[in-house]
Amino acid sequence: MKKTLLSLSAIALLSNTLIADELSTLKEEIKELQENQQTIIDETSNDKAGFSTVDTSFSHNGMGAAASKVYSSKSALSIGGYGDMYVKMPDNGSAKADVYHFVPYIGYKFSDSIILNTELEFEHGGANAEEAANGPSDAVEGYAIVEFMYLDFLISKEFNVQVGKTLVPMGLINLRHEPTLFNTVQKPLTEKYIIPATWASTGVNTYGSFEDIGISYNAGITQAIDLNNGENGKHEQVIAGTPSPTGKTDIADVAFVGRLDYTGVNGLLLGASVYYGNATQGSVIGSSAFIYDVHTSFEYSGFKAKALYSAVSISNAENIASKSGASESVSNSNGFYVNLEYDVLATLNTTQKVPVFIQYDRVDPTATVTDKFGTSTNSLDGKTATTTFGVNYFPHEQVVLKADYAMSDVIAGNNNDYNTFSLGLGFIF
Amino acid sequence: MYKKLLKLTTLSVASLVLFSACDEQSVATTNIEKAKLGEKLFSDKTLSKNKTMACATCHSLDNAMVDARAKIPNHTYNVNTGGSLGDDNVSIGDRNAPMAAYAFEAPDFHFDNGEKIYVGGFFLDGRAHTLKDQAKGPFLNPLEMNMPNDSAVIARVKDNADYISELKKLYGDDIFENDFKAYDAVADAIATFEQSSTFKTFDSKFDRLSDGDYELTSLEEQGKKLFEGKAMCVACHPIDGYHPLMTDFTYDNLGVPINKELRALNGVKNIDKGLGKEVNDASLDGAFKVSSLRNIAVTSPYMHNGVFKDLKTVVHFYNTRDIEGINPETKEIWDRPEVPQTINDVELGDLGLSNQEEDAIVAFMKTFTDKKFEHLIK
Repeated sequence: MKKTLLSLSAIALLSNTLIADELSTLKEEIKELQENQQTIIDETSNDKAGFSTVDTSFSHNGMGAAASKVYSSKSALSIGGYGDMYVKMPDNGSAKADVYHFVPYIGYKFSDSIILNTELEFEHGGANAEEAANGPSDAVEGYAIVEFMYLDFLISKEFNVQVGKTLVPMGLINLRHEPTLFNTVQKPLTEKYIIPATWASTGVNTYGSFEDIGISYNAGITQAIDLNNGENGKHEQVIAGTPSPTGKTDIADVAFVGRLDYTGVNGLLLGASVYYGNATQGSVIGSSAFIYDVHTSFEYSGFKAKALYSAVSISNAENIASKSGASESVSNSNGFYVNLEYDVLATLNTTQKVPVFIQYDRVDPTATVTDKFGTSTNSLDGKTATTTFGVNYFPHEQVVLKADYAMSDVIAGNNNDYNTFSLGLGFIF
Repeated sequence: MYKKLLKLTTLSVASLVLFSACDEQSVATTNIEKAKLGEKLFSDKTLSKNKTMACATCHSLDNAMVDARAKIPNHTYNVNTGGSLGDDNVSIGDRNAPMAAYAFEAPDFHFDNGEKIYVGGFFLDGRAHTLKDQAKGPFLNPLEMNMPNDSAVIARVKDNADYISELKKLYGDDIFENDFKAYDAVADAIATFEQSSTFKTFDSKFDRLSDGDYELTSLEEQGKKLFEGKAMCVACHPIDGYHPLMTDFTYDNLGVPINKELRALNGVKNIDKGLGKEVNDASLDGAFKVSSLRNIAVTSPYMHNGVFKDLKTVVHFYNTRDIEGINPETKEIWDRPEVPQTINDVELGDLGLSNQEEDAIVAFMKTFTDKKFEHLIK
């Protein structure tokens, strides 16, 4: 009898254990189903296109919201992007319309810690082989490229590793070049000729943040720029030195890139970035490039301010001039800009925004040029001061319409100054 | 022990710094020394067959880098016909010696796939693709320095002990083991000299205007507006940007007539096809390099064959070529082009400029003259 009772008790206990296990398994399965269901809801409820809307307040490692989308997406596959186009009417030339960018971002989460992020870029209306071969020279400008493509290994908040072709983490615009993130129709010249945005190159980048003290950083090794190019001594020498967006690019020499940002005070960003490495891709010995910037931005109740200073210093630029056969090579460049913005709808209870702004942008891309004999002179090529004022209209936080008037004071020569009225539109998704 | 270690470290660092400093200076120093050697070679008449002619003969450093002999009274070759007298004192070339100043800024000869045109190069027909190639040409041209071959030039170079030591120092001890290599080094030294500040001062009134140190007169200002507008000069001679070279480095057939005076002297009867012959393309026959307009007011005569002697004549030719204008130098209607089938009739030929407007353009072009040559302006 005792044995029977014991056996029954054991069976009951076993049954209870099995039921408990089963319940636990069922609970897990239900939880998983619920998560999957939520993901499906997330993926389909916001719009019918099959992907979620952008969280415009989200930024991963300083990138724009659309570029960061894969990091916040609940599904494995993420599709985002941006586009902008403009009409510009300079008073010293003919008016032009340009479908400047259409850029899909495609991201994929292999797991919570391994992420693929890519940016495909169609610029100036994309590429047309027939027009490039037979059409006007403007047609050659259009291209379709992979702007960046990297794998991100998320390890901790403090330390992560990106491998592949990434945006070089310098300045304010290079990482955040989506049209809703800057108010002018055209980017400031300082972040074109001094920091050669948009600048992407192949390498390894580590990054992380220490939220308790408001510090974030980037540090990596990337392809060196190649200043021995067809623009030696001219204002486009630095931007022409960034790796070609297509084809097999040289990586004989690499450089260090680092960035430090402080965001410990609400609304404030204060930071600096540096680039140091060989000035060419192995064609010139003994010449190095040092590029740095200091940048800040501040936002408070509809008011935004941005400022950036950047400079380039090339050691032994005469070696480049000597090697290239060009008469000179840039040895120093610098530029800065200040941008002030106020949203006139800031005090109203609306999600729409109408920021008005003014920007002063001064760039001296050939502050000194050096010839093959080591003689440095001041050049005025490209030296320009541009004052721009205008207005944006955000009918939706992801959509912007822009209008501005840029007054360009070309320092070299007389009567070379010109003014440009521009209209633009931009969006992110 | 620590002091020794510190001393050793200091010495090592100092040596490294010194070594680095030496290394950093070497490229510029070497180039300076090459230019000095090139300067001597550039003016050395012993490198021509009869020892009467140097590069500087047709590219006088004191005469805006063109042939000064035409302007010397009672010189054997004292008529301003457009060609240059050769080392044999008999031969006269069929083309006008181009200005050597700023020539180094030309890109190497190439076909621009975007624009579908030939660009850059040296000599008026682009036959030398690089500045160094150009420097090799005149030594061996029978109409110029008339040396039979590169070995003969190197033999003359070896007559000068300084040349031997300097070439060995700059190009290696084995430089004379191969005449071809030595000839290449001689050309490289000359080309390096041609890249020096002697050939680029960028201090004309036009440049000073860019720097804010000069103001155009009202006539020059009018000329500038015409140059950029009605006269369409900037189509081939752009003046925008900083330190423009005032050429787009392309090739064009301007419909220039034969220089009869020159042909009477040199006896040439062939049609000068220019670029067309070099690239074997009949559609480019008669096309010649678009010259820089720097120092244009002091580098008479003009056009590829020196047919015009006065800058105003050139402007008038551009203005009236296609409307039976009168050549002010011959007082006759413009002669027909040497190569009529390929001429540019879009940007010149009938510009509708008045006589006063032509004067204004000439006045503006005078501002393109380097400071050191301003005294040559008539």
